[in-house]
Amino acid sequence: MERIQIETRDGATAFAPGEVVEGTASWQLDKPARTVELRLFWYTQGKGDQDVGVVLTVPFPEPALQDRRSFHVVLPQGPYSFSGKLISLLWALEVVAEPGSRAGRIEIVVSPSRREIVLQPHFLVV
Amino acid sequence: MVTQPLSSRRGGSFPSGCLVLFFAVFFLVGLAAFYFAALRPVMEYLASRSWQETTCTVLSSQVGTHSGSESATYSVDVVYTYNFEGRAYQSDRYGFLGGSSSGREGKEEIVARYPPGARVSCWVDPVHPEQAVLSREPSAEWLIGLVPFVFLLLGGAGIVWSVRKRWGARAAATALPMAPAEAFGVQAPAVLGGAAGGSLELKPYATPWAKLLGLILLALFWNGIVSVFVWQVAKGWRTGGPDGCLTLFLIPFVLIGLGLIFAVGRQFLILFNPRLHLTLTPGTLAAGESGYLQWSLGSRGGGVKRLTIILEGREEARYQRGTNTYTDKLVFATLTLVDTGQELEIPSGSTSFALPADSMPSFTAPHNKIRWALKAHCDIAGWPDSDDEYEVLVRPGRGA
Repeated sequence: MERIQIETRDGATAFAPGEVVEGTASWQLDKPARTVELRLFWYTQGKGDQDVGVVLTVPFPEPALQDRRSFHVVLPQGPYSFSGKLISLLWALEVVAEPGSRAGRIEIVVSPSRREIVLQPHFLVV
Repeated sequence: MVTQPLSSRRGGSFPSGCLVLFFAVFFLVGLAAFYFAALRPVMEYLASRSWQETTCTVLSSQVGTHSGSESATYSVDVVYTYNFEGRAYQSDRYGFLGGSSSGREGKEEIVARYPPGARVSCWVDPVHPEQAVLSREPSAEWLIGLVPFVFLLLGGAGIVWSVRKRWGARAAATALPMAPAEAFGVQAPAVLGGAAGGSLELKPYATPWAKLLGLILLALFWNGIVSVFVWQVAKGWRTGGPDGCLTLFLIPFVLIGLGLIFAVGRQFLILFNPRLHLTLTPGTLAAGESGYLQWSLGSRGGGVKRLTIILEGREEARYQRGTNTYTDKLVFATLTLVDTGQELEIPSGSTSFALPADSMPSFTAPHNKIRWALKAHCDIAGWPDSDDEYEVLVRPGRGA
């Protein structure tokens, strides 16, 4: 059975913008892959059609059928992870093996407080 | 465990090619109809100013009847001869706007002026003497040419909109790494003095003139189509064969058309309202930091009884269902900056405010947005109120 896994250092899944995410990507494939790469991206969920923004791609050269590689990526300044009534924005790290579009993924949170911003209707006072 | 990659997914597939084709048909049909119904008659009318007046003899004249699927249309069928520079010519053109239209009585009046054998004036093109008309004056029928112009405009606007939508979808699909300044998909506006913390004179989303033009086009388009059916119904009632079902069916469409005409009138009156000028410092707001808003109303406040300005943060999600595209909006933050009925405060003033540190910055993606806007309302007694919206950019705070 094929397996693609991502592990972050100390299992961290919440980060501040600009922070470094370190970890390892490991995979066990049935068929050889021409390319295996790590992608850092955000995507939207909710009522609107989905938007996807790939921020960073890190290729792993000469991938073997069974392999383990470490990675080190710097998070951008935004956008922040948020959750609203109509839209949610989520960040993820994904390892993709081609051909075959085989992938493994973990979700992370990117915001100054390291917590997803929740958009709740509220009134502010000057 | 292996899944399908999410990062390869294309953002919101959209058959914009079909839409471009759909609007292109509108545009081309509108263009052709506009050319024949308006542009060509006007060009010929302008060219005919150098044509020469000549005496011609009417050979035959009658009202031509052209049966259609629903009703008949009529034309002025006049044949006449004339001599120009020693040669005899024959023509059957009455004016520059050819074809047939409804209204037999008007055509009968024209035909009565040209009985067979009558010697009347006609206008001859000296360069192409085979071209002549009996009347070179524009008539009210020429206004029909404005109907295809509306189709032309709508088709053109639709093509631009579809192409921009396609580009937007492509941008989402390729999703290239963003520059640090555009991490949230938005670019900071140019501010006065060029400094990041400088003032910014805000521009409304749509000026009163733009709103009026948009409403006029919409009202023309809607009422243009509805009037064709109203005409049929009215004709049925006049000739004693009314269609009750069609009459009832048309009522809501006519009411919407009347509502649009009312909206055009209301928007026209709003043109005379005092204009609100807003200046924001800094030009780009930051979460957790303070802002300063100055306002001034032209004409010393010109009858404004109450001025309200609120800062609003909202989610905007665009999605497709079938062939329709919808945008849902939901407000998540409301901050009232100005709410005054004081006569001295209304014409001009300023206020300071602070955005909470956990405010969500502006975010723009092709289908999903976090937008901040200043919404201004001028309440004028006995006159249509003004409502304007000004986009404001909120960036992450310095402490973020």
